[in-house]
Amino acid sequence: MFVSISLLGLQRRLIDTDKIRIPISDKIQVVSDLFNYMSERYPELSLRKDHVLVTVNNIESPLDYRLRENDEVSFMPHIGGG
Amino acid sequence: MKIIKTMKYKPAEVNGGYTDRLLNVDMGSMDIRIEELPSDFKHMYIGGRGYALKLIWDYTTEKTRYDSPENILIMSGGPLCGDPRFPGSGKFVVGTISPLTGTFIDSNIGGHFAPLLKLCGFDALAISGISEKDAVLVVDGDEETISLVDALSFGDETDAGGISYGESLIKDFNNGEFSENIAAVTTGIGAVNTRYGIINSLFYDKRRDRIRSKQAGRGGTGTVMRFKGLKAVVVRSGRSRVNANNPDDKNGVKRAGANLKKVVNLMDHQQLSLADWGTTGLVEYMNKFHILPIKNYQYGQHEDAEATFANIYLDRFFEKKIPDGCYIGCNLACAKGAENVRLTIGPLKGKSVGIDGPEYESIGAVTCMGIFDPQFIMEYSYYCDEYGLDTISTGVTISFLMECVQRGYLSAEEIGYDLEWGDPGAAERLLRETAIGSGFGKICGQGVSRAKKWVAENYALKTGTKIDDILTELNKFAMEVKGLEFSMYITKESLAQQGGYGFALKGPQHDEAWLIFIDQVHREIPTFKMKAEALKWFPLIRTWFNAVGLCKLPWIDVRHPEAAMTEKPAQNNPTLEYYLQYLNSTVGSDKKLEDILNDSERLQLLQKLINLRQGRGTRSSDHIPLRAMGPVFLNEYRSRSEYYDEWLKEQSGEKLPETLEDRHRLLMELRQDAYDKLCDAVYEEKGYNSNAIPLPETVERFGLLDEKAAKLLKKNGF
Repeated sequence: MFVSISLLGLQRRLIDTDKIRIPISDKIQVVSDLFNYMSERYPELSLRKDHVLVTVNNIESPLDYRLRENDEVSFMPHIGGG
Repeated sequence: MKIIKTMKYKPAEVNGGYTDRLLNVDMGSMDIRIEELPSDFKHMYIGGRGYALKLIWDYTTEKTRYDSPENILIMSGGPLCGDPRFPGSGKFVVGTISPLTGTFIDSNIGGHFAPLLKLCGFDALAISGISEKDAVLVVDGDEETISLVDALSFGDETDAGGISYGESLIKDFNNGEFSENIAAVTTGIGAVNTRYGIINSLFYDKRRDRIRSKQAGRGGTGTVMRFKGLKAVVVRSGRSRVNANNPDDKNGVKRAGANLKKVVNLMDHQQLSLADWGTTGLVEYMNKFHILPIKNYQYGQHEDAEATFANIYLDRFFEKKIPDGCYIGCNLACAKGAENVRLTIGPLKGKSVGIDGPEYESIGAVTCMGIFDPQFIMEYSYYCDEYGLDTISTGVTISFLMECVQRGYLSAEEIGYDLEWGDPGAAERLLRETAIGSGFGKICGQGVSRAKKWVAENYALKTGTKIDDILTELNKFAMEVKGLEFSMYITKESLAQQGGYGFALKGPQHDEAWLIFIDQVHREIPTFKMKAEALKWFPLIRTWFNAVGLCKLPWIDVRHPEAAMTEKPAQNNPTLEYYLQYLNSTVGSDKKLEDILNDSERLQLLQKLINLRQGRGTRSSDHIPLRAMGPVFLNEYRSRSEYYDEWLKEQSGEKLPETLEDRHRLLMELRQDAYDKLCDAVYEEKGYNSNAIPLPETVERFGLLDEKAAKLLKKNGF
């Protein structure tokens, strides 16, 4: 069972891909596991939990959301509208 | 320059952000008059949009139209405009009676114009009357003269261009050189021939060694300027910009500015990276959430949209990666631009030009036409600025006409050529015709509301169908409210933003409320009450920015690191504290957030009264097209049927109707019902009755219940 992380904007530019697929495993069960994985694997993203908008399938999600097959996760900036 | 009228004057000193002077220019009599503003004026009306509202309320009537001599074109910054120690302080507002809406329009714009106007000794410039021949106003604080001069001619091509003309004019005025001490506002030929002409704010950018431009895009302020016979305004002042506002507490200003700059430096590159790629970064996010307008807002996402994402401009066009503030001292610096872009289309094909932008809105206007070509986006932005046309209204009107072709209301024979989705050639041709007022451009230049009526009458003649029946269909996808075209966000899945557009006093522009994310993505405001509260709070705080002369972006698009710990993170209150500190240190006040919201509410109510007077203030004026509420046609429903089916299940909790047609009908009924309920909730929250008329006690609470207001409310049932 896999989930994907969508990389948008500057994130995509920094690590040169728009999607990362990751298997759900003992270590990756909830969104915060994914967050920790991304933070460690890609420190250049400068991810901080209190600065990002976490979405699962385009809806804001808590970090303890339990991942399901084919979920699409994003760690996005907040957008307030110009 | 041939002088028509000139006067000597002594520029007033700025004290606590104000000069307390208004410059009145009557283009009919060529009278130039300096007016001392009464001491309570600034306390009641703050500046910027507030000053424009008060002048329109006092000196125009219900009979005033955009082309009436008594209509006034006001340009005003505000008390916080012009201090480089605080980010985003070059903003000013242009306010007038709009050619599109027939009521008050305000459009905010950056650059050096308002800061220099203030250094020349004026809080605002008010233009009335109509001149028979084109003139230019020159406010020269260094020479201590104000002059009306004959508009110079630099040849047909230059004279027609808002940017080209301004460049030539500034050079001519300053012995062949650009200068940071000189700024200008201009219009182009599109402002002569359409209802949505813009005003360009031109300033010299030393780093790029060229004239840059920002635009007051919405509502046809440039059209009013050209109708008055005013081709340009030039301002000059060599006074120091540091301490330009002569604030009450210099150190307080310094601290407030340093605090905000620190947050911007720290957070922007972790968030939207506006300093790197301006507002182009938004395209990708809007596309992801089905918010990017595609084919006249039919769809919100497209597989080709990737070609219009921010990295494309950064790699292909933004060669100079330098700070790009539209005013000195702004470290958000989002005013990106490109150098030496070779134009491949249009009358200037082959010429290399500097292009400012593109902004998100201009990109959205192009995807709205079904075009995903970044070169076209750059050139569209350039030509709209040079012609003096609003990129939004132009794009939305062309898109509406394209959809009229798609649905059989218009034919290639009537237009003179094929006008199909995704055809840059046809779009460029109609853009050009619109600017110069030829061919089908004459219809396009009237905007969606009037083009819709023309299409209906034409189709009725052709087919014998009743005009009302045709209009009922066209109204479903004619993306305008109060006569103004929608800005570039799809609201189908955000009821709060439907209100954000529907209740916006000027018409559907997002600078009063942008609630899509907190509603659609965060789902922070699920109830009608919560949506209504947000639809009161955000327009108030956003109005305040327009009154004091500040850009909103450092507040709304750079989230403070401590905001997450507050009750309402989207309000970004920790950053608003810096704005309060800047205000109080500048003007010498002790205002709290609640006080500035009250100041804004007074201005909103005044604008509401003007709308009522001009016939745009009741509930019916807040109606939005069905397409703004949901998938108005089956093709739209079909494109996201899984999502809509799921939404219906969540809402009704019942078994879904069997046919797509029935599911579609049910969904649209639910959406319309929800919008109606939202109207009731918002009117109550704002102190209006159910017909959107402010209650007399609401008006009185803000000191606005004078004889004129009382008469107006009486006429509306009180």
